[in-house]
Amino acid sequence: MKFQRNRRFLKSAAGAAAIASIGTLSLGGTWALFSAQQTSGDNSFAAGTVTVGPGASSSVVCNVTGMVPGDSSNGFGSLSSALAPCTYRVKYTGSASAYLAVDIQVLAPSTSLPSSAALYDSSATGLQLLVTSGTGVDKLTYLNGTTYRLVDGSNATVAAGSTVSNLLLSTSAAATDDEHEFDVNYALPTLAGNVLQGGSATLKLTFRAVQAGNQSSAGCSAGRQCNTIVWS
Amino acid sequence: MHPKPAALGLAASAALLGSLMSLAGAGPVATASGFSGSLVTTSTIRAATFSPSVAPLVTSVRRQATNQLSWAAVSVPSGAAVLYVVIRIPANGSPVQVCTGADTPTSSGGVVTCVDRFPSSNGADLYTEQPYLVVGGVRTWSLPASAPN
Repeated sequence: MKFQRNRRFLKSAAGAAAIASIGTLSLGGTWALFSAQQTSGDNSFAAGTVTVGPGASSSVVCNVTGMVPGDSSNGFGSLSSALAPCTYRVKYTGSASAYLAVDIQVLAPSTSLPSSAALYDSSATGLQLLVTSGTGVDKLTYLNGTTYRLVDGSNATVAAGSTVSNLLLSTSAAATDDEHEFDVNYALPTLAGNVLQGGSATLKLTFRAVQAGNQSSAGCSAGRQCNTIVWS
Repeated sequence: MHPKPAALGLAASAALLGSLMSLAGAGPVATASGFSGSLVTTSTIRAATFSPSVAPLVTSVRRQATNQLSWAAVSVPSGAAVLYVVIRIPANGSPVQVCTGADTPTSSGGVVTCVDRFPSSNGADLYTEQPYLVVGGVRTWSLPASAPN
């Protein structure tokens, strides 16, 4: 709301400037004669902010090494379940209500290990990734093995190197200090081929917030891609 | 896995600038829709490799009517069990798998040993070994077999 007020102010200022310019054009040098100066009282125009920051006990980097076929993290649901997942807490720290989304990008090989094999190859025998938030009935899945969900709920494959944008966290706008916990679980199938020895992959999650004012999430569902909201 | 805290931020200034640019008549800009921000996390996952990365040569020592075989142990960082296929390559005839059943290779102190109880009488046998992983009863990764020795 404050932002809208600010825009109105800016529009008014721009309009006044435009009128002044027209006046200058038509009246020529008379502009100087009619000038005056007045200092108004203090006016505050505080814009809302849309920011995202790490939540409590957050970590933004997670490294897993030494995976062999049959290994999985304990939230993956199959295979060894012996490794720890990567967990991130994300807090919405802006003052204006905002829609939140996550972008997913899988880089294989990892940019830090460019000469290694691509551990993620979008197949059932390569690295499998499970990105979720929430628990119980509130649990949402953004990446399931190698697929994400389009706006209509159908599955699409995450290709290595490409970015899947705008997977919606909730159709309701987030408020200041709302926190979300994201779990990244992973598994390497027992059928992973020899070519994957020493392979690497990096999962990059970009959490987005955009003002909810003057935007609608109509037609979108949580956990799916939502492109009706203008995210940037 | 060692999660590390770090800090990443975001900014709304670009969006605000976009709004101002639109008001000033600079034309539409992508960020004119309003404020936005983002936070980036990265999870890097790397698979194991065998160590050493090349299967070690087999050393054979004749002892009475048997050949005592040994080679340096191969391991993976996770500690998963590494097993071996050992092949005898006679000067004449077909290769044969040896060190099976009760004679399966055993590892101690970084050295793997086993016995070939039926080597060729001419002493001209060569041997190779191939390390591999077994997970849940399924043979998974392996190294190429060692050079015959």
